Amino acid sequence: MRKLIVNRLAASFGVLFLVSTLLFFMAELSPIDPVTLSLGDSATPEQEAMKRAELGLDRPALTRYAKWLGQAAGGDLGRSYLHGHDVANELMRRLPVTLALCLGAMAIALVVGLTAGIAGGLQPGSIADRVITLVVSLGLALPGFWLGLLLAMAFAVHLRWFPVIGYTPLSVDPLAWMRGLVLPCVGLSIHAFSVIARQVRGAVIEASASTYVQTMRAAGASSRTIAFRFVVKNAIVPVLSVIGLQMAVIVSASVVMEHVFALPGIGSMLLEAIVTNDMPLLQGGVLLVACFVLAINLVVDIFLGALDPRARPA
Amino acid sequence: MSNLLDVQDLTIDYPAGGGAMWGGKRFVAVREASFSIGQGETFGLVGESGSGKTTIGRAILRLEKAAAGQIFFEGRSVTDFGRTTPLSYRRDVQIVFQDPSSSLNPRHRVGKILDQVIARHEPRPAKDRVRLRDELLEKVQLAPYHATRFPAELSGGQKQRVAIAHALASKPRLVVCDEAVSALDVSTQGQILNLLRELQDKLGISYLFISHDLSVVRHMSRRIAVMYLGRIVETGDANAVYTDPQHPYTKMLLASVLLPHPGERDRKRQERLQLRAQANASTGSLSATGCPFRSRCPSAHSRCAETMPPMVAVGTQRKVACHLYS
Amino acid sequence: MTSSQSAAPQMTDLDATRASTWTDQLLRRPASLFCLAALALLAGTAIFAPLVAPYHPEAVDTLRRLQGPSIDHWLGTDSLGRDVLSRVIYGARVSLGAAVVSVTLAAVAGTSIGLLIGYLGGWWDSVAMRVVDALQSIPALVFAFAIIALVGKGIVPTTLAVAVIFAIAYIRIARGVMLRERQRRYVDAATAAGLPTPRIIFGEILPNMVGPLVVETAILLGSAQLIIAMLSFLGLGVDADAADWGSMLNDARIYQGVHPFLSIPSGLAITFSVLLFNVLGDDLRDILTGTQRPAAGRRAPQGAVALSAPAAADASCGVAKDEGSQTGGILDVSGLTIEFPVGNNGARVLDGVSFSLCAGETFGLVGESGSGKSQTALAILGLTPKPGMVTAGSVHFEGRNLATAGEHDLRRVRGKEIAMIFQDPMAAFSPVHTIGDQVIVPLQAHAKLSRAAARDRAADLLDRVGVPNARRRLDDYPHQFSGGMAQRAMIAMALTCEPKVLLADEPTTALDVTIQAQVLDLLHELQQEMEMAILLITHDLGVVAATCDRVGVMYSGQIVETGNMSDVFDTPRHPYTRALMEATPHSSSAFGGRLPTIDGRVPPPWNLPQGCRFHPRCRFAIKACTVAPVPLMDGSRCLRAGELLMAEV
Repeated sequence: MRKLIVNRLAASFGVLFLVSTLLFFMAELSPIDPVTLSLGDSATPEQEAMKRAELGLDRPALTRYAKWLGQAAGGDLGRSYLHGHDVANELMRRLPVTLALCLGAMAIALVVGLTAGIAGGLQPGSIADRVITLVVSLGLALPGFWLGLLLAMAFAVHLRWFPVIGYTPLSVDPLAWMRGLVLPCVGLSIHAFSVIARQVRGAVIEASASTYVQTMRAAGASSRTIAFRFVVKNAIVPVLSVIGLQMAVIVSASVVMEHVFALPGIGSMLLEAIVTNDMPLLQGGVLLVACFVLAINLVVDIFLGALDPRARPA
Repeated sequence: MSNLLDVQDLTIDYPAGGGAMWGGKRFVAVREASFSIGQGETFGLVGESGSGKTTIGRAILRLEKAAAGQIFFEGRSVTDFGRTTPLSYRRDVQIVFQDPSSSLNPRHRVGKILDQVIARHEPRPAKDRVRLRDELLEKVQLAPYHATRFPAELSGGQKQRVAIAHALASKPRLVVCDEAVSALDVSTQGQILNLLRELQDKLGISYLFISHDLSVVRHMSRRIAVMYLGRIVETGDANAVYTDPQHPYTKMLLASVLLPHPGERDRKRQERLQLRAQANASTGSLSATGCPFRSRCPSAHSRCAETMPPMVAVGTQRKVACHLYS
Repeated sequence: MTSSQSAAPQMTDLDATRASTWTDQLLRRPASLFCLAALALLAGTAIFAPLVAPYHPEAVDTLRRLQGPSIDHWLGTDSLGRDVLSRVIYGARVSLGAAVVSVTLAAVAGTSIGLLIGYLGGWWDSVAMRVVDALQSIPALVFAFAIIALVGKGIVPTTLAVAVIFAIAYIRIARGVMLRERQRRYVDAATAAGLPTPRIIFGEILPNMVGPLVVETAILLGSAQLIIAMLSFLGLGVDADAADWGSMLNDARIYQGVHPFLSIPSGLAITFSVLLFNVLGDDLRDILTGTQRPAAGRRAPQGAVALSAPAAADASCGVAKDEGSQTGGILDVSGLTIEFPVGNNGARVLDGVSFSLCAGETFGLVGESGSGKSQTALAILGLTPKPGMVTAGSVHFEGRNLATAGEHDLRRVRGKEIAMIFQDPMAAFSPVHTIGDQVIVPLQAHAKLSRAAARDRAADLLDRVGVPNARRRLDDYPHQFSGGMAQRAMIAMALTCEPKVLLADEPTTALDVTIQAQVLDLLHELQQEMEMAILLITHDLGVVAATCDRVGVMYSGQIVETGNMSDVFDTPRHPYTRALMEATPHSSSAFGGRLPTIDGRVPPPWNLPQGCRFHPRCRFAIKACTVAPVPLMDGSRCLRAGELLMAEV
């Protein structure tokens, strides 16, 4: 098990290195000149040259790359072109919002998705299964951000159970913090929930038809024992990677949900960074999201190793 | 050299485990195998799973690379062809696989499956090729209308007939039959074995007949080789090997064959129990040196763990790799 | 039986079931048909938008801002007083168009790259896959951000971004299929036939890739719409003023407090059109993988089984040779019949099978595939797979009729009184549970044993069946066992509760010759020790001869001959038995000439011949054989059984 974790960690760092390389050269390829961006069009050539030297842009790309990489590894992601904020600080300030939103949505998607998928898969064709299948088909087609809008309309605007938009930090008022997150989390989880429920249902049906289930039935095991001790575990293994992928989708879709509910998280920062062409901000944000996704993949791999002996390194 | 095919000290290995690309350990599938096949002859290769018999067949087709040793076809060295295989060799040597549902492309009709080979080896106008194709189908006792079928629409026996037709399309001189009847029911198996025989009589083809089924191999071949964990342990005239096995593994293998004669069962069970009781199950780990069978062998002694017994002639028509004879 | 000297083509075309292509099958599904029609309609609307839409999508009417549905504006107006219906109609152009363009680009580029690296393999493959992995660790939307940041906002960069993201999906699929298909024997066969490499890639492998690619394309077309709408919603995709479903939703977001209805039309439009692609994709996947949608839980009606009372005990358990109820054994199977619904009428896979299993004996059921022998064993334990049903007959075990017993009662018999072992020991164990956890299942189900005690017993049994280091191997997983060892563990599991009857379904078919003999010898020893009866099911005449006391030969769902082992094998009294014996090559017989064969093939259960089921393939058949079903008489289901004995061939 430890060997597995070490292997995966090493691989993750490799991927992280590749991602950061891609990000650096993306900024290089960008047609937008950071100097004009921060000084405006009216700057004199002398001012521009000074700014260029200040940003280190007068040195060759490879030198800057090495420097950037070294700083990024040390946690220094540079400064925003536009506001001059320290990018790392900005990220840390916004991280709790996105983290709470994503973890909440993941929890909902996992619990509801697994339950619905297992319930449907154990009794395919039953009324419960048909209802689940219908909900799942809709959930797959429904844009999450539209659902967010509808939820806000129904529960915030009309019923006034939750705030329409905005975010209250946990330290200020825990209850308001939670109430503000309910609708975004639900809206964010719907797609992942649908995918998970659907895949798990299919995997449960497939596992139920396998020979070892027949063996267990012939051995006199009760259908409960078979379902919960043997079928479920076998069904989860093949869908673990899909679950991991959906968790990553939640992370990426959080951008949209933050936009709908005007939450001050990483997503709204990324959006701002694109609109204003603020490369350091964008690089930092994307790098953080990539770390998040790699962490998810690591957790998935550990689960896979724990559940499936064949996935453990020999 | 009058032999059609000569295999000399053929060794084939695979990268073992994950670190394949960085020159990790290699697993030896076949070690120093030698045999030859004459014109119009059937040579049988029998062994259990993991014995390397299939790998040899694939190496002859150049689907597998030889690590050492040589394969000669009519005196030409097959192992020295380099990257590309001459079309003439592709024409001369063909293969029939075990599972016809996998060896026939599920997305092509039978007609197309056969026509591509005909077109490749005998470029002629389409009308002529249709005639050749129908002749081919008739050879394997199918009808022209079967050409319009997809493999999934045929029975197991019919599919295997198509696979045989595919192999015959280039008019080969040697056909490797790799477990060619193992997936079939008894009644269909008989039909295919008869067909292979008939074709041999008519066309003078040689077969390398690979199977785990000793009865089928004996029915088809005059000379055979018995393989165990990558080594040929005994080879020679089939009748001699079956009636008077020399190598301890061959003995055990034959004692394990269950015959449909209820009267013999107690005698054979006794024979097996005796062979097993003598075997000293706890012999060290398998290593590259030494006899691969020694851990199950009733007559193993210290020498068997040290050196691999060489092939030695026993009688006029037999070779055995066992220290009992060297 | 010996086929005629002239090589007559096999003209019998029993296999008239032509496999239909996937397009045919798709058109036969009502849901897919509806989706295709709706998509055609949608596409038509998009193309002919200027003709269909009542207003120009950008016609501003500041006097009528944010109005609800009315006669003039069926779906109301937006924040600038533009007609929502017209904008939804024009929006289909952008949504569908951008999705189709991006997915097409992705498919062409991704498939080519995937094919190439899959074929080149080695370093190319590893390096390319590392890059793909890295790209995939950036979630799709964030990836799109990066591309848009690089190229700028607008519909073209958006489409491009989506194309790049999906190209990665296509690379994965194409490479995956390529690597899988390269292992297939037909690629070897094509290589061996001398076909040039490009021909093999594009002519042989690519056609097998079409299925997965089409499915993926349908699903991705839906996802592409969602992502493009999302980007427009964020103001990064289509220009905010343009008619596009995503940007319309953003407009609705801003005015959601004032005019909540505004988001409904465009939201529904996206949902509906994505739904169409998804349903289509699902149907395609079902067709291509051959999976059936599970039907509503169909159970055999409890009253459907004809109760046949046990007849007066037959004193001699040994030979039960006639039609009718069987008694006297520890397990008596009488007139067992199983039907599967096929089309309008059922297919009888088992038809009136009767036999008795006596205490301590081994009874063999032998036959080719499709003869119904495995169905017999499953039916004894009430495990007939759905939708099959036991429609007649009884299975008497110690005074109880298992054919009519409920699940609860059956469960008390399974594993405890009657145990079963299966053909493929690797598939018969769950791969993600330890052997120990599985071997103790019968003990936990039937004996009130603690886990530790159950494991002790399991270790003893594993040791008894010859698994070395038994206690340690309890914690191993099935993939760490060889086939022979796994089958030993399977046997140990079956024996944990000391059953009176063991049903062994092809227990050694998946094993090597020497291992097969070991396992059968082991079964023989254990039987002597535990005094259990064994029902051994096999297609291998050698296995039957080596293990069984009595035998039943099955053909097409019926027992056609039964009797003592040596009687049946030495002097067969049914032409099928005899033909089977003759068709089997013997290793004791030297290099032989032609094998006598049985022409034709076993009839499918939904298309059985009149009269004797074997008569179309029987060389002894006479007119009387074709008229009426032949009953089992004196151990043979043949009208000419008596004559056959005389006519030695």
